[in-house]
Amino acid sequence: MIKQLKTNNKKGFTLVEIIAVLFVISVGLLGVLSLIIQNIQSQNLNKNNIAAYQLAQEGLELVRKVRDTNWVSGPPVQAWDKDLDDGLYYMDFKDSIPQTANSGDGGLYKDANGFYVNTGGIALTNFTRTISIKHLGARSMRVYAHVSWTDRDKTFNYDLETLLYDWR
Amino acid sequence: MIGVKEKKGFSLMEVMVSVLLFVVIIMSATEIFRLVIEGQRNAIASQNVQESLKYFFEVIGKEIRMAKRDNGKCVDVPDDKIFMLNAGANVLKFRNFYDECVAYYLETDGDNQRFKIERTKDGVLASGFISPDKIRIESLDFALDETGQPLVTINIKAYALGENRFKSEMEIQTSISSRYYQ
Repeated sequence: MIKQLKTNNKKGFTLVEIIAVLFVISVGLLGVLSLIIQNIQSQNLNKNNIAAYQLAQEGLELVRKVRDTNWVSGPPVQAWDKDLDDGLYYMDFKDSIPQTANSGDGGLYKDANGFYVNTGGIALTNFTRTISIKHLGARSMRVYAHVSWTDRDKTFNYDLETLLYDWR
Repeated sequence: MIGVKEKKGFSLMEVMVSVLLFVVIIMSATEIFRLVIEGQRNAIASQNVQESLKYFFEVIGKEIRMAKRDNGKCVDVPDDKIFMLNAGANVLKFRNFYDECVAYYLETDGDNQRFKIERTKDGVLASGFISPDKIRIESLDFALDETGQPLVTINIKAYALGENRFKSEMEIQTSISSRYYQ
């Protein structure tokens, strides 16, 4: 007994030391884990960014097509900016002219062939696209395409802008 | 002998606790390592899909913008039209800036499907795949609007081949308006 008591005099770790060690270890683990999670999330963001960029580009091309159609149409020769007054619009590739958008409009749907459309679609997608037009003068306008989407309750945006002129 | 017995050893409890701790730490370390590798593979797969789709849009976008109205040179494209879309809406043909007759479509390659491009100049055909064999192009659909200035809409679904969890499926659509004015 006496011998045992003596050997029990060995120094151990105090509770505070153990807690400190556990804290350090868990901070390390959490750091690694959050890195992995961030990696996955940024991949997702990248993916949506590319899709949104192409959709925004589509929006600009659609307005460009309306202007170009005005150019080549006639006789009688049309104004280059016919159907392109200042305002907020939505438009998909099946529309021949931009449609006036109220707040909440512009949601993109999938149609039966898998194309993104504003009207006549079946399933609502994550993406919303609006187009706004602002004249800078009689022969130039600024066109914005705004694409937004939600991912894990967060809203993301992609904006593109171009200038269109009445110069051929 | 007595001196030897006085050496301090570990008790059974101590050994068991330390082994348990060791196992827990090693297991969590390997699990984290596995997660990191998996995340890395996921990132690479998704990057490959993104890169090849971006490349395709780069190539086809430029060529569509520069496409010229056909003058009878490309037999498949109706004269005086810029683009020709087949009935299945998955083959797009036109005359490009360098007077080559171009066709874009999906072609089966073994079990896989890849983008294919054909360019014919003065009767000489050059063709090739323009997406890697590790990526499956699930669908390629075109839409053509010829009222006024022609507009081509392209819709693509693609994913990486291999294990399902590294698929990173993508769907992209864009439209391109012709820059050719007569």
